[in-house]
Amino acid sequence: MSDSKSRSVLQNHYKPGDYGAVTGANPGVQFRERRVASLFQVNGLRSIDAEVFQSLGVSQLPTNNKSVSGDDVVLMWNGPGMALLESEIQPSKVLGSEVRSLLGSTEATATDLSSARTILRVSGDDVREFLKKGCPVNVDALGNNDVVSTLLGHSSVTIHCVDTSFDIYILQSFGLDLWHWCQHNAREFGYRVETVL
Amino acid sequence: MAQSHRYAYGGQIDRTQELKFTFDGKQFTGYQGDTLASALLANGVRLIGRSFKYHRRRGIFGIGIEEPSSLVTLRKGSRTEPNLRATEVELFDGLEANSQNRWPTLRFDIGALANLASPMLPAGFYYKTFMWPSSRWMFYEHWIRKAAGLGHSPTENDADNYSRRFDFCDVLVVGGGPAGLCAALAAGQAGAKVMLVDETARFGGQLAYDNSLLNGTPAMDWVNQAVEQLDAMANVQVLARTTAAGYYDQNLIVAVERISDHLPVPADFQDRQRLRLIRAAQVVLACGAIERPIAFGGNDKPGVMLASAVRGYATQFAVQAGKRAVVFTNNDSAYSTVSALRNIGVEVVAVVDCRSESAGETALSHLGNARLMQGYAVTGTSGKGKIRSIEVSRLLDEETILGSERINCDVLCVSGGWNPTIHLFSQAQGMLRFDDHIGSFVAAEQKQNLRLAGSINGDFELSDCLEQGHRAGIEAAREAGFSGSVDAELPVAEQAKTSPTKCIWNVPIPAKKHAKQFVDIQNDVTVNDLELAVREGYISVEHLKRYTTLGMGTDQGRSSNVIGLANLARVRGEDIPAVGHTTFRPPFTPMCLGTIAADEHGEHMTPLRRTPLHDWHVENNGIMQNSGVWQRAACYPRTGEQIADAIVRETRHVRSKVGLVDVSTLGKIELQGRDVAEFLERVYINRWKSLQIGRCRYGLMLREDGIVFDDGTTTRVAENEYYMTTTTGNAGPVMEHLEFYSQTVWPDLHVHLTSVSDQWSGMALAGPLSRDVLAAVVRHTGVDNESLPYMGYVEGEIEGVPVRIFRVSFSGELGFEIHTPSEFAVAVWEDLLAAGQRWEIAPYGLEALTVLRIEKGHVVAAELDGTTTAADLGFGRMMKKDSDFVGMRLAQRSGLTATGRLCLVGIVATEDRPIPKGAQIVERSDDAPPASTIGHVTSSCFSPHLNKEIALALIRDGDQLLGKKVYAASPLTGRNVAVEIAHHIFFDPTGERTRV
Repeated sequence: MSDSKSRSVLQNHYKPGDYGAVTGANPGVQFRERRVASLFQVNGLRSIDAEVFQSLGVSQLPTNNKSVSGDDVVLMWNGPGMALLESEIQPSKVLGSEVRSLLGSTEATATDLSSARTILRVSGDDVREFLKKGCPVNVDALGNNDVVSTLLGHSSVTIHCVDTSFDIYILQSFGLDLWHWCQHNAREFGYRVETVL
Repeated sequence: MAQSHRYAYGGQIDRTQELKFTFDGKQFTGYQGDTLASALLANGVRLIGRSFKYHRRRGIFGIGIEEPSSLVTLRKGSRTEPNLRATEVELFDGLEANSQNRWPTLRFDIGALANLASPMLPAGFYYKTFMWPSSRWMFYEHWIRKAAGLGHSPTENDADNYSRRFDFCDVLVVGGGPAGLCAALAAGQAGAKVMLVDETARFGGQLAYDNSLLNGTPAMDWVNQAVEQLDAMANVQVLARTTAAGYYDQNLIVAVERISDHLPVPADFQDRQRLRLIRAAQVVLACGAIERPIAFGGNDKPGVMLASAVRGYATQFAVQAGKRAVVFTNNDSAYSTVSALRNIGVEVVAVVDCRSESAGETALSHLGNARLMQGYAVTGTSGKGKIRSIEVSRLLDEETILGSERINCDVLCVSGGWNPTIHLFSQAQGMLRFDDHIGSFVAAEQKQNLRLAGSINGDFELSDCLEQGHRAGIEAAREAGFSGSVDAELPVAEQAKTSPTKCIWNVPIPAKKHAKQFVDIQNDVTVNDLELAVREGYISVEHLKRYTTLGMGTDQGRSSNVIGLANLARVRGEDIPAVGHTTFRPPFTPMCLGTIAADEHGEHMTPLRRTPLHDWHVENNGIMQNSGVWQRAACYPRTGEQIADAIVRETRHVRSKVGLVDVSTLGKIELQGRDVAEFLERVYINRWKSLQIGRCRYGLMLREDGIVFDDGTTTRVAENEYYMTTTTGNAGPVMEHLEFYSQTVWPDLHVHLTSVSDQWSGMALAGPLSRDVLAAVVRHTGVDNESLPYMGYVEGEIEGVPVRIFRVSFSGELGFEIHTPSEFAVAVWEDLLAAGQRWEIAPYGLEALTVLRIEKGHVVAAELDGTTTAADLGFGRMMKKDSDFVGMRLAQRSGLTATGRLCLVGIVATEDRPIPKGAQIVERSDDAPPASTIGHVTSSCFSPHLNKEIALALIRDGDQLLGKKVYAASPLTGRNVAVEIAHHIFFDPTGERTRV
């Protein structure tokens, strides 16, 4: 598979630079599109042992609305008995085959969603104020490794809090729509579009 | 003389910053810190507007949200905003304001003739007149609207931006007066996350309007310290210029923050207003109270004002509302107006107190040398543009006055007592009770996590307000889980010695005199109007409101409601509690529609869904159209080509050569688990257990009621892995349907469902040359008939990209659906087009796809319209007879199996005219409507294959009527097309072309 053939839905619309009401050295909000190597939906977590992903460095399964990290992977709870497994570096073919092997004959299953999401990492001093413009959950209550499935504007998103940043996962078909929403609503804080991660 | 009514000293204004503004085109000056109302008063402007109905002259009456009269239109062009209260408009340099509801000028208003005709315009006159002839109503309405009304909304698009924000806090304090500040300080110190909102630009509530002392120093010093203290607390958010407009269930408070209304224009990228949706664990309502007037003859003239307003203008803005004042009151609070006016050089000639008992000691201390007229009442006013004098009589009882004395004055300060601002409490489903002591409604029983503090409780003593706020803050924080130590010391207020309020609502009109006693100054509702309404049977408070317009408009009866209720009770001969009150509804004060809409307009009105090929379509002249939430390419016209011609060309190209269409919008669901085949058996009408790996099958789902729900193909990808496609529009509902059955009805089946609609992009390669194109580009699999037979499935690669290939056809031609991970969709699409150049491949759009499927007789949402059964659509024989599936039982209902049902057929126009979509099928062309119909058209198009207009239709027993000549009639378009009923498959009925 050639990575050069891979293309984000934002590709023609994502222009690095500073925009909006930028007053100081750093705008209030920074955006960076994340292109992860693989993303899997794992279903049936209730039927497997907590140590099943130990070889990936994940020693326990995520509890409700939490994520756990492993060596190169993050496992994010996204529903009862469900989680998203993400790796920035392991190609989906490699990770997919390893995960299916780990799940073996258990009742859990994994589905490749590596192309299904647009992921935006949002950070900056005003990131929480920015998210409050469209997110009806208590953004101030979100801490590191918290995961929520909620709305941003009109769109269904999953938000993963990573230290002081937030990763927003949205169906790629709504990716451009959300990107326009983000640009519009970040103008008051000033925003920076950073190069794709 | 500039600012002729501004005292040389005092006020909380910045005299170093002089601001220029215009009112009705005339230039004035004010100071930073002024409102438009205070600046107009400072310049001696008394006439501000015209009343709603009679066009009577109106001046400034209040000082805040209670203002009923001084409505103005602000700004111009796309920023024009009508119906703003001058009392709430903060002055800025260059402000342009205009009066409303007058023509040609405010001073000379033709509409004032209505005042002369007022005897003919009583309450509800418009329900009784202009009724005949009914056809002339539109004519009458035009002139009624011209004659009566408020300002005019702008016709241009709003130039400003608005936004929305979701907030959460432990304690929300509404109101920044003494009680609110104490509550916020206490809750903040206890450690709770606190939000404090106040509708004005400055905090302090009524403290800003009088000369109260706290700890022996001016109360505003303490207010400023408290606000500084709150600002310094990291867990407290202080929001000025923010109105709590609505109180909803679960302590959801909707507030409007006016971010830049006090500026000439918002800064770059700055919103004008922001809608805050605040979810609070606990709420403290410290909304204060609003002074109410008393109804007496001529009480609407400019110069008649609320006493608290006059006091506020004097104290906060050093503005003399007049040069010679009289105070008319029934309570102690108005007495402090005397000293406030005296401090700025206004002569107060008399205090008319309708109580026979003496006012309290504290009140009397303000009196100075003003004449005290105890047991008297104002019975009338004189003066045209503004009051010149008042008439005062001895008040023997509520209906009897004695004697008369005229007193010259140019401002009359009226106080009829205070109404607690219980609007939000009532919106929160709180129950109210009438308090006889203050003559108003107060909170009785609460339904949400809230508490009240301050004068909203009907307790107007400053020391009580402070103490209640402090206690409410501590309790709210504790209920929210915070019990940190609170070391805020309550300021010490002087304990006032007061006398009780005498509840008086109207003052009798002197004998042989005629004057209107206005209850609702904004809507021109008089005491006589209320009496007339009751005589005519409108005795319910809600009916009375709607019949007379009492309490409607921008002020929502803040100064009139209680007087109105009291008059209704008087006429009905009952107590006020028996009369009840009208319903308090959001918003508390008028809101901009722009604020409610926030950013939900234009492209942000609703989310748009795009396929990964969207940009390619746009770059290659695709005409994009909305299809549900999706944007899809309708067709790709070539230079100089009309859209209709492009559709025909693309259709013929697929029939003759090869075309490529984006079908990424199809719903796609991955089903995994050892029981998937059993699951499919139960949700589809046909068989699935026999499906082999590498094979696809068409399936049809029913709803529980036996009606067709959706259709699509499902492929067995691996032993326990299936790949289902659904129609575009039903992708979400089908997923929900399957999840419901998997999780709740058959949890014993081992099935996991995942939507992969966004993981896989689809493109359909169709046409007699499609296999050649695919073979030229695909690797690791063959695509010949043996490797990939009809309804077969293989996996391969195109230029290194993994693809799933399905031998299915929606067009009726040899076809392949190629699905690839969405990130590679553009690459695969372009590789296919590049490889297909040799065979003259061309992209085709949704319109050509539609023509192809109609020719082939395939059904879509238009035919799966929620009324059709499988048999209606020709799928009756697909239904299993020997095992159960969703919808099977109810599909056997007699109503669904009887003859005479609408069933799917084709129709062909026998004349050269398009068949209207949605047209009714009638047997005679000359039947006058309403003609009886035998069915309707579901989809229609021009068929390049037949070179005729064709359509699919649902016709009663249509399959028995093949060859019958009927008519497709469209009353909407006036078209009536002769058609012949045919089989619904127009093209290749045996399917040979798909199996080559």
